[in-house]
Amino acid sequence: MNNENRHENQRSALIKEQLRRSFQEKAEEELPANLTSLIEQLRQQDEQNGK
Amino acid sequence: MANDVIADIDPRDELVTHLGALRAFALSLCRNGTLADDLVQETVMKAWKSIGKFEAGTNMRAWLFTILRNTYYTTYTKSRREVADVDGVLSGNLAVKPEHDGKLAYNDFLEAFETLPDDQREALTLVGASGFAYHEAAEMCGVATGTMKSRVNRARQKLVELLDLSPDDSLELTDSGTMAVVVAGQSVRKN
Repeated sequence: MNNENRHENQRSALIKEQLRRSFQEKAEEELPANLTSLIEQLRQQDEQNGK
Repeated sequence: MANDVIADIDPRDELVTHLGALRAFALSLCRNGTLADDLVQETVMKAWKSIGKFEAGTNMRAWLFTILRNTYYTTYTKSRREVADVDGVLSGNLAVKPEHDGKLAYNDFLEAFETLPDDQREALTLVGASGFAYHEAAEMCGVATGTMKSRVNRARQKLVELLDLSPDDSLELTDSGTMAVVVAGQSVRKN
């Protein structure tokens, strides 16, 4: 493998890792309270409707 | 047997397990925390209402991402998108807790990523971050697989330019986690 290909692979690996890290950190943030309330509301509605 | 197990899972329970990823996708698209949360709420309401249409055993995350994406592009107009993060909400919402030696590089990366055009940011998020295959991401975005590949390549190239990732600089840009990936890649190639 020549140097240019090796550097290209390194750059791709760097970008891929930073992307994953960025996405993972966002995905692990605590969910906003209004979203969890919404889920509870929807579940309650389903229960009331016998779903 | 496996299909029976899948069929037994209430899809509404599975939906809840994807909320974090759904919100991460929304943040990547909107670049605005408040807007992203509204978008996720709207997506959840739509998905919940249509949960009977979801086919057990298929990819729920792809289904949810597609609903979110369609909602974003149909409901959230260009003018609304252009106000993205004027108040720094996204910056404040980003849970950036970089390690000491990677802090500058990671923040640089986030800034560069946010300057990419919508379609490229979306392509990188779906393929590079969320782990969808090119053909899956292409299907979600309603484009050909080749188009998706092209968007990902252009986005990567743009990031390389924006971050000025010359061969010498690239190693300085790493934190310990990233370095591990790079080193692992090199080891595999040597073997």
